[in-house]
Amino acid sequence: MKKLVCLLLVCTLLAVSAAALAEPVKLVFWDMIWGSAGVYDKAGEALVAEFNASQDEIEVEYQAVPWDNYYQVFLTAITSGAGPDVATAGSQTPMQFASMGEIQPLDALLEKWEAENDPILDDFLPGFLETNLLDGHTIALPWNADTRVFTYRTDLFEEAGITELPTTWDGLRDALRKLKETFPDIIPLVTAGDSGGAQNIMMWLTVSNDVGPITADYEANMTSPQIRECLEFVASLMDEGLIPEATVSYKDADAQRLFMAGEAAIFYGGPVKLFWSEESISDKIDVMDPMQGPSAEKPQTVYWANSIASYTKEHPQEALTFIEWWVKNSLTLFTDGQVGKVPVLASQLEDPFFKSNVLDRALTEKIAPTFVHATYPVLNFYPAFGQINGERYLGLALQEVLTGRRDFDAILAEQNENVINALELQQ
Amino acid sequence: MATQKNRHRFASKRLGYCMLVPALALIGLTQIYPFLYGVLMSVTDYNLLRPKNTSFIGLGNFVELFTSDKTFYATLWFTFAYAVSIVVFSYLVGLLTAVLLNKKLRGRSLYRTIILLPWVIAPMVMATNWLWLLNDQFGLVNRVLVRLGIVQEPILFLATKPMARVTVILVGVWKNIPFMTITLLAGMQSINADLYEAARIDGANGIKSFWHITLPLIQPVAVVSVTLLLIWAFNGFENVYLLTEGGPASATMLMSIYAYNTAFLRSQMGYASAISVTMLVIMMGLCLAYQRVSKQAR
Repeated sequence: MKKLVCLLLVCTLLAVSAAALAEPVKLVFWDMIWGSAGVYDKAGEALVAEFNASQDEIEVEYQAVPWDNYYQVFLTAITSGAGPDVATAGSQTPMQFASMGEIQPLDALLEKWEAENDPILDDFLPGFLETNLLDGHTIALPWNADTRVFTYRTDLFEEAGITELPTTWDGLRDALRKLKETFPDIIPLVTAGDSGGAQNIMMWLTVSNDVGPITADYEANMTSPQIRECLEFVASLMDEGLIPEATVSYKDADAQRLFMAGEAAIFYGGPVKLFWSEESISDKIDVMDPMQGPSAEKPQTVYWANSIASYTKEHPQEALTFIEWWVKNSLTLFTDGQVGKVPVLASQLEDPFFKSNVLDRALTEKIAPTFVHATYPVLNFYPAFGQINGERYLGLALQEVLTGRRDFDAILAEQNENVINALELQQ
Repeated sequence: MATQKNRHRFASKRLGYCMLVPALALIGLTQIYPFLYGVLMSVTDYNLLRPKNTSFIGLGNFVELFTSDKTFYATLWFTFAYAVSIVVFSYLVGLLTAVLLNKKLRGRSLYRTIILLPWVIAPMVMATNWLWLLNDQFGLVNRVLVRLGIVQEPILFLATKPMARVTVILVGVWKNIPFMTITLLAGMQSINADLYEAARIDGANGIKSFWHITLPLIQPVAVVSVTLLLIWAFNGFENVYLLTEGGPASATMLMSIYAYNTAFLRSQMGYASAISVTMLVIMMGLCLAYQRVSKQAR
């Protein structure tokens, strides 16, 4: 009898252990809402469900994270041990957490791809893999690129006699003058000038003028003549009434609203899919060509590499498996999820979806080939970038100009000091 | 017998103390611990990007704040101006509204409900609505002003530094008038009507009654409400952050926004804590001074 009981016990233990062994590893995945809520997150959830169905070892739990205060949400959760195992997040976020030692490098995945001669290594658009290098380690993998574009009214351009799209700042200013002359009641160019908006304008201007807030050697560069040219250009637009006097108070929603209401000829900001579903303007809008500033040799457009990273210390191998799958299969996030950003894999850009509509075609065919990373002239996110970009030193300089200051050198000297402090503090 | 009574008293006291423990533990965890931790962090160079390299630096953060931080003084000045303006104007308008609502008017309850609206609207909704109302292109306020011929060109409410400062203060006043009205109204309603009757018989007119009866008797309520509003306005964050994020070009930067930016954009938790501790000390000083002055006035 005793033997029988022992046998039964052993069998039960074995059965329980086997069941435990077969239990899939659970990963919590935080995904920022990269498109419209209710559209993007559904596509994200579907993609995760597809991954879960494709194998038995890993079960990923999908959680969509809104953008409001996302960095604080991440920071609080991760520092208190309640963070995600894997997450997509805003451009510089992985670098900030890597500096804190909270990110698991993805070097093993890249080594695997190299060993297997995986074609994906050549599929990444040039420069993208380098954007997330920190101290020689790959801390995250980019899967989409964010950018800013000029969306314009084709009918107004035609009526104003603008037959060729401008490719330089001077050309842009001339076009704006013609628009103002032809349509005195219409705002030639509308954009957000609040702290985030001003920062984005300046990042576009500096990159297209072949300069950045720091040099490639990590020296503060705000007092550079090329950055002064950026401020002078905006000041000239303002003084000539080519942008609204109240630009500095506009949030992105205000600028979008004015453009959608037909009160502005050009909108500068993120690619807005909504414009193409607004009946009154959808068939008479397009994206302008990339432009270059007076000190640049070719047109350059700023982009931010958005990535996926591993935050788990418990299941690093499983996280790598999921990240690899996500990056390789993310096409549906663009097609079904309507991300409104640019894929970073050349093979994805070939998908017919990106030829099927004006916005995506323009983004992939016109804008993407001129991409230069937001950290330019540095190739990758660096620790001080979080502060320089986060505290918007470029944007603060521009806001001074938008509120009427014209002592450009003094404005830039003030912000140069901030950049020096940031470099000292964060490097 | 006496011993039994003492035992019973002790037992019932012990039960009382035991029942206080959960509440005290909760306060300790949610208020005292974070406060002490914040004070502790303010004397360190705790940086979120390098948490393991944290070291004790004594009053280093405070020395830097007061001697070499240019942003600090500009921010402190505007925070004072913002808090004091909100308290003064909210008090004056709130007092006037309370006096009106204290009269026997038709539809008084409706007015009392309406006056509460700014207080109950969510800050996000409030900020978005104000931004739309004050926009120079499509904002209702500018459209009305231009159509009535009061102004020729739209007012740039949030696009110049001086106007942005005035605008955030006005929105702050608008938001806080209900609080002042309701508390002062409660104070007025607790005044015995016989006092007014006696004053009227003695020949006092409305203004004299207000000056010699209403104002002195609502003073205890006023002291509490002014102190509370001063604390709230000085520590205010969301109203200004949602309207301007401290801009344009830092013109409306408050101490709380500065501390927030320092903590989450620069990752300098130690320095941000020093800013917060400084705010606390200034606030305590202001409140003590105000209460002492009010006591002397009484």
